[in-house]
Order: sequence, then C-alpha cells, then structure tokens
Amino acid sequence: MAPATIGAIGDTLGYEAFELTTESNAALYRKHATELTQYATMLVGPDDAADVVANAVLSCMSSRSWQGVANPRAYLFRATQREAHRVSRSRWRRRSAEERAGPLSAVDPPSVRDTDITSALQRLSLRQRGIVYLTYWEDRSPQQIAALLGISEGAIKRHLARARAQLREVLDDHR
Amino acid sequence: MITDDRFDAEIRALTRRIVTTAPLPPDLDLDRLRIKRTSSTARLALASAAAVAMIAAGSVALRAGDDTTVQAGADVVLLQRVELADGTVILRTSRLPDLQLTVQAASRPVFCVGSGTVPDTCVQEATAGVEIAVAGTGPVKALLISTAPATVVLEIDFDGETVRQVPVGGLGLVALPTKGGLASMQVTVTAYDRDGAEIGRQSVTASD
Repeated sequence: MAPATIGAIGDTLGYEAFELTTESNAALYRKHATELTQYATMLVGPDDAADVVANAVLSCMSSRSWQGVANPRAYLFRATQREAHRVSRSRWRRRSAEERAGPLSAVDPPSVRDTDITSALQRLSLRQRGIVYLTYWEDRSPQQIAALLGISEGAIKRHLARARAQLREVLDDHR
Repeated sequence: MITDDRFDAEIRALTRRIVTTAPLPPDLDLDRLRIKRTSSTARLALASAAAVAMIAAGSVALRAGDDTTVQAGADVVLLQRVELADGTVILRTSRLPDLQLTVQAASRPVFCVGSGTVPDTCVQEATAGVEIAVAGTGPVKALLISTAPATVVLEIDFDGETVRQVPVGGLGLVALPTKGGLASMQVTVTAYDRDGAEIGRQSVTASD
C-alpha cells in the first residue's frame, strides 16, 4: 500500500506521513491519543472524554474513506468535534428526560468546574471551546486551526473573538 | 478591566486546569477496531451497582412504585423499582436496559446479591466485573465481586466515616456501619492495573 499523501496543510501542522495500515493506525493513535483526549476534555469534560475519543477514532479507522485521508490528524480532530456534539446533545436530552422523571437525590461534589470562570467556559459553544483549547493550549494560529478544523480562518477569528469577549466579561466582573 | 496579557494568562491557566483533568486516552484494540476498556457503559454499570448499594443501605429511600435518580459524576442513573410477587425487588436502570440488579428480600439468609447482566462490551473492562450489593438489617455488608484482572479498592464513606477494603480480584467482603440515621453516603470504587496505575474510578454520593 502506498503511503498516504500529506499535503501542504499536513506540512503546516508538522504532520508526518503515515502508511495507513493497521500498524500505522496504532502508531498514529499513540501519537495523537493524548491531545485528542485533552481536546475532548475541553469540549465535554473529563467524564465523557475517553468515550468521545474512542468512538471518534474507531469510527474514522473503520470508515472506507480512511485510507484516502490526506491529513489523518485533522480528520481525527474533526471526528472528535462531531462526536462531542453528538454526546453533548444526547446528554442534554437524557438529563431533561430523567430530571422530569424524578429529582436528583445527589449532586456533583464541588469541583473546579463550579467556579464562575469555568462555568463561563462551559457556556461557550463546543466550537468556541475547541478553538480556545487550540489557541491557548496548543498555541495554534487561526490559520493552523482553520486547516485543522476545516473552517475558514475568518470564522476561527470570529469564534475566538466572541469566546474571548464572553470570558473577559466574567473575568472583569471579578476584578 | 484587565489587560490583554493578564487575560491571556488567565485563560491559559484555566485551559491548563481543565486539560489536567483529562483521563488517560482510551485503550483501543485497533486490530479489531474496538474499545478494550473504559466506556460509559462500564461506568454506568458501576454507578448502577453502587446506587443499588445505597438504596439497600437505606441512604436513599425508594418506595414501591417510585423511581429515583442517582447522579454519579456526570452520569445520571434512573432506577425503577419493580417488586415481584415473591418479594424479589428488581431495580432497573434507564440507561442500561440490559442490566438488572436483583435485590433479594432482606429477611432471607443471604445478603443481597446484585446480579447483573453486564453487556459483553463491558466484560473485558477493568471495572466492569465489579458488583456491589448491600443488604440486611443490623450491620450492613457489601459483597464486592471483582472478576477483572485488577486490584479493586472499594471505599464507602458514611457521614465522614470511611471503611476501606482492598480485595485483590476474586471476592471481597466489607462490613459497614449499622445503617440508620445516616445523612450521607459516598461509594467510591477504584480499579488499578497490576502495576498499580489507576485505570478506573467511580464515585457516587447520596444524601437523605
């Protein structure tokens, strides 16, 4: 099997060429598993992050189109984003239904997630949260994030500006 | 208004705090394209079992015909109580229709035994073989069955008093304080692999 072709985007992201066999799937997963899990944690929190990554990775690698993917890393990030959306919607529907059926008999223990600023982050859209992660944790430029997530650089800048404005509002209130 | 540099530093610190809560990446079997362990199904199996333990211990009241929900981390488990003609009580979860936890009447000479039909996908998972069941009058006991090749630590906290047991696979029996008058209860199950690294944790908290 010929190695997958990695184009200019892959080069921009520092991606190395992989031959997409089962063996290289394992190498690919080893290389990106941690960052994908961290990304998923930013999107849906630590409780669902591993499931999101597992479903996204397995869905990609079992897909027929996987062998023709030019930039597997970007493909995996986008799949993780889609799976996070699915989990988020499913979680919301389930909680609504179960809370209608009966009151919660216990609550989450207090955690760092309860702080105002973290709550503000959770109010961002999944797309905005992902962009905040890639900007502030991975130090990616809007151009690189656009290539990774498959949306325009202008849209990345708009999402980031809105996210920053919302977070700044909360931080300013605490001054 | 804070400066841009200060704002960026705050957001970077917040992102770091969140990222450091990230779990270990899931262990994937890429030959067979499936998950080796760590799924929400396994977590729910544990949460359900722990919820049954809480109900049996009396820390969560559940009258006939009632439904209740128990929250375990981000998971909410809805339990439906179904009492059969022979007095057997079945607690059925909404999230795991395949999992039924049967609680036998406390008057029987057998402590309540949780019998779960855990989906196949869970069987290989480190924490999935754990069943917790608590029953009886007087001192409450928990029967912890671990079929997983892992060390499982069960920690139960009644009103701040912690009972901890460390069974190594097989069977563990934990004597718990006498029930009654308890304001809160927390059950934490932690699984470690053979090297002592934590590979799974489930915690459930309930109060009267």
